[in-house]
Amino acid sequence: MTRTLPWLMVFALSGSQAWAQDAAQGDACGGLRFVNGRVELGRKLEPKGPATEACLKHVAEALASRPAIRSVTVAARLPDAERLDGQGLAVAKAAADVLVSAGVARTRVSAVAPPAVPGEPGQLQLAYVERPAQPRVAQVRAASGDVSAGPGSDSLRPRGVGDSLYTGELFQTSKDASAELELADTSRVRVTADSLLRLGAIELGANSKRVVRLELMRGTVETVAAPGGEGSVFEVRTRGAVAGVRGTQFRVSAQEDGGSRLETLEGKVALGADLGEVEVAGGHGSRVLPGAAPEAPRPLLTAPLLNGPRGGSFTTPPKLEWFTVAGAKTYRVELGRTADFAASVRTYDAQGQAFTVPTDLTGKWFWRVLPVDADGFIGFPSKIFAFDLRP
Amino acid sequence: MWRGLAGVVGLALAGVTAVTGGAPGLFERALYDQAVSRLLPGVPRSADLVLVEVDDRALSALGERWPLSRATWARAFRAMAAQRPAAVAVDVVFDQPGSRDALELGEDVLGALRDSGLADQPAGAALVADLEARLHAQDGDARLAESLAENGTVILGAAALTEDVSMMPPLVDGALGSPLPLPVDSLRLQALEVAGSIAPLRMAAQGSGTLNMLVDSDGVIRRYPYVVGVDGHVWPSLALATALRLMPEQFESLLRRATVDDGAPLMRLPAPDWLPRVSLADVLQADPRSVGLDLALRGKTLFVGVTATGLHGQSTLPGQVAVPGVEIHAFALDNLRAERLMRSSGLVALAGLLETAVVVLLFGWRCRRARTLRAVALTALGFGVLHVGLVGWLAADFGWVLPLIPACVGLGLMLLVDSAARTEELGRQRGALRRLFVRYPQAAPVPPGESR
Repeated sequence: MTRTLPWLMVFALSGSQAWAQDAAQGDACGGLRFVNGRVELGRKLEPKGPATEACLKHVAEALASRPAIRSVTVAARLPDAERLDGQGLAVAKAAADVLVSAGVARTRVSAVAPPAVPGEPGQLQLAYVERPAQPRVAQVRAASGDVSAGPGSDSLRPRGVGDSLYTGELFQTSKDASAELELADTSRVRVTADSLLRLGAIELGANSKRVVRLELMRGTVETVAAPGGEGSVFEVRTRGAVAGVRGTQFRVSAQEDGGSRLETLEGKVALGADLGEVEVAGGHGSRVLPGAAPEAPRPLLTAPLLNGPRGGSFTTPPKLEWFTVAGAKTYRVELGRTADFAASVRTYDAQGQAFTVPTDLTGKWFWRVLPVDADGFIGFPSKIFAFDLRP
Repeated sequence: MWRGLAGVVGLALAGVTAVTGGAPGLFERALYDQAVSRLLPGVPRSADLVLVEVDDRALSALGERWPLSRATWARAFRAMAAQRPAAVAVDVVFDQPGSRDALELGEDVLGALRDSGLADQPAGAALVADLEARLHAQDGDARLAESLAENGTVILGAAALTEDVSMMPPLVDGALGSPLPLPVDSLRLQALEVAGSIAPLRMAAQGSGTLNMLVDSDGVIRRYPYVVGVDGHVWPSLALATALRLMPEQFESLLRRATVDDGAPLMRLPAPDWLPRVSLADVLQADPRSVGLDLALRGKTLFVGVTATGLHGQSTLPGQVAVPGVEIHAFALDNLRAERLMRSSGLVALAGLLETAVVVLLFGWRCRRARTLRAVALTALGFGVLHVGLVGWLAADFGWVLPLIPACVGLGLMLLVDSAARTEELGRQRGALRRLFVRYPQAAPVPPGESR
């Protein structure tokens, strides 16, 4: 069985993209995620109180926007002393009533009062069941800003972390939003701001054989594909080209004029168009202009060497510096909350060899730099450094 | 030299057994099965473990086919809760939501009633209330979650997914609760992902435990995996999760025992019919105040599973035809809490290797001193008996399973080589004597009166 290496694909139709902050941070629950049947809240939910009611109403709103969720269970986990004589169940039912009053159908809400974990204070927990009508092909792993999905462009509904996506659905991010999807084969797709992606066929077979077809209709996606077995297909289609994975690490960009650009970081990738196909080996790039055949491969720019800062805390926005890469016209500076740059990533274009961090980026950030040549080919990424801004 | 090579063969077999997970090795499984099922004392009958079985009678009485409806399960757990068991371990994974077609239809009707304005009229409002109550009662998943929470002692089944493509939807990390603080790399059972019951049921239950067994290539289950490693985390089996629920004060001790033999020790087998059985039909149909049911279930640890004919609940144990899978979890729990665990890897495997080496070396040394083939054979027999006795004693009294066959093979081969060498030597001596007599023939006696 042939196993492919993980690979990276980037479609960059837009230039600088700013990843919005997590919209859930400001809600009444301190964050809200629908993960694997559990409603995960940003903080522990007290059994009673105004804050609990506000959070439950927020959950009810989120449930209303998720038609795939068909029932929800509220559990009141209270210490034994507080569960006596049905008090625990009464607390759970009161919470369920809040959901019902906020618009969730009564027939879809149930309440239970299981014993609490010894030593832990009482709290409310929520779990849900989704419709099993069709298997999900993807799940929202991370999201910030307004993201929505639906079977058609006129039926898009808000989505959040943990939500399931199904074959044929459109997934859209607003201008200041971003999201990361985990496909059924564990591949990951990062959808940047102002993008529209249709989830095509995603089939999993025996011996890790998989078929994944995505259609990028607008914007930018960045994908890390999982290893696939022999005979696997992983394609991302745009208006003008199809990029098919043949086992490697690479990036592809689809441009607004219909052209496509491929940068192979490792291994070999096929870039196909109507007038021909070219295989691009590691460390090289190629592009397809509208109505033309793929160009001959060209070497990619090397990774920039970072000058600093390598770490540490700063009271004022630090200046990120790196050394010149021959052939680079601009540089792409990426700042992420996590070292894998999965979500909450901010991207900036820099002309020189330095970039001053915006003042609103407080807290810990990881940063890296990618060189961009005159034709927009993105080179290898630099090492990842971090800084902590505490004004 | 050939005798030494014969001994090395036995030693090599012991080495292969040690590095492939310990005894019983590939060629001694049948012997091990017979020994462990017929010679070792069985696990004594347990007084506080009970099997609540979904048997043929239960299916017939309920008028249902497997799998049972969620509403029936809800009734069953309520009925068990009424007897106040110490714990209820369930050999079932509720990994899919129950059917909701009727509920969807009912909700559509409710919506239509409200949209039409009929719900605002007294008769319509009563109809809506009645319909809501019926739909509430028909929601099997919700009712099952309620009954699990009311019971408060239920440990649900889960499945470690060991195939590349599984039939169950996997859960994300942490979905089974908190992983156990154990090293994961050395565990015998490693899985890609773990699957469990749907989230509301997991939330309402007291925990989950994996139902996986370690099945050898001959289809026999000799080891029980108390812990399974999944992507850097360690999750408990149903037996271990139940034991932790029953004896939280022995948390450290139970974890130490569960990691014996890389987390999957060899099992001591139970005596026939060691586990008392109660049909689910009796649990559901008997009067909750029944004294018999109270005596059978109150304060006991209940293992719930299917034993009905043809429902794939059977597992083959050494020397036995088949037992319901749920029974294996029950006596795995019994073995764990009584520390009746048999080990064969690690230090025990090293001890087996050393014991084989000692047997082979001592026999080789005795071979050189023995004057006759008969003495060599008797020595081999003596060492063989001593070896078998030592292996049996260590297994019966200490639960150490040492390889039996390698030393016997070494002894047998060395005996053969020694026999062949002695026969060859004897032949050579006879040949020498014959040549001696041919060279110096004795004159035949001449009878008196005859001349030469």
